[in-house]
Amino acid sequence: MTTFEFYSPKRVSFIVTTKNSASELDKCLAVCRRLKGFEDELLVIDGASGDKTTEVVEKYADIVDVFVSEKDFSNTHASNKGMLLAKGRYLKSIAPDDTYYPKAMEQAIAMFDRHPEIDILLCGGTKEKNGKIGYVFIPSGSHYGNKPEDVFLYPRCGVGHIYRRKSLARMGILNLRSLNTDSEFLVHAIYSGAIVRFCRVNLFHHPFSHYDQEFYTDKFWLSVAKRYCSRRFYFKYLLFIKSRHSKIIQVFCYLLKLVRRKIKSSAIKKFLGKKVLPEIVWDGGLS
Amino acid sequence: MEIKPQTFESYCTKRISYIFSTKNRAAFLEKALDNCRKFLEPEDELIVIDGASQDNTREVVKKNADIIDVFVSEPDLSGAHASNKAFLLARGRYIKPLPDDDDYIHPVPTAR
Repeated sequence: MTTFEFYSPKRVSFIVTTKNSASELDKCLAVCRRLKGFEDELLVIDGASGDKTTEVVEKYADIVDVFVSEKDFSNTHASNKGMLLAKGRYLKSIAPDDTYYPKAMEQAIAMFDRHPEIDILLCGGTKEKNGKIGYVFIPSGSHYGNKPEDVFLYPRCGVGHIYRRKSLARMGILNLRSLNTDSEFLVHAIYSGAIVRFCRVNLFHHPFSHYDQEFYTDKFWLSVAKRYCSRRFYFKYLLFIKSRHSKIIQVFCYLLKLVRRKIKSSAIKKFLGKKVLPEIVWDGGLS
Repeated sequence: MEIKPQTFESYCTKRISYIFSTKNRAAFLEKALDNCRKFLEPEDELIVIDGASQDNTREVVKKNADIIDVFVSEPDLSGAHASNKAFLLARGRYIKPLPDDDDYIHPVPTAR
């Protein structure tokens, strides 16, 4: 039987999207040199930059397989072009300002190979904001990916997403009108029945940039929750969002929390003592 | 080694990607492929996405192997799923899905 993957002659398609950021692209392609294996391909999709982007790409001509340079509408538009030109079994977007660890990448791909049923594999990593490090980690036994709400409940970062190209036929490509393309795509994928799993590998380090801030639009996330999540979750999330702005709701939520805690504190809980935060272990397993 | 900036379409090595998505309709497919022969140009490609048919689809495809560039046969969720697979595999500048039970394409309008 001839399958879709028979026509995917490459293993991983690394997609780099860029526009007028030649110096960042230089660093990014240096990272790609360490990540790219002999079975992989590298696609650079440029939005017709006016700087030295072409010279930088020429410097890395030995590793760049596809170089498109033409006007585009957005970073998402460029990513979609990359996805359509890719020939790999797996797709991985590479952002210029992030650090990736090649060993973890190999572990993640090996995990993907072992589990042909997985459509999207999420990998862990670290996020840095104002010098503080936060972990993108989902503990073992979380059964992540069973419902769209999981994307809201656990730490998320698009830097760790790896897609199976074949699965795009079921999930579609990225939404150009979305404010946070990666996370909305993830919610949509889980909603459409895609199998999404978290792999406990430390794949990336993502420094928080001002560009990230525009993603945290309450209105946008509420609309995503309304479209894809259960009504119960939507109202809970709405209350959470409102509580950020209203003192009365904050007090109400605090009281509600106290009441719930009182009800839940059974003898067993008292016996077990304080709730222990999950330990971060990069053991390469699935959560 | 040299790499020049290209446009998206310069990586589209074919002109038109004709797409057939089929399942257990070997007789229809055979007729449609015969019809397709009339307007298929050398710079076009023909993609057949089959949903793991149980009939003689495979034999029909084998018989027309000279015009078929891509043949995928595996279970799929729906006709739309099959078409999407073809969109991802297509290398043409234009994509034309063809229903296997229609006979509406005439060589002359396509060439125009």
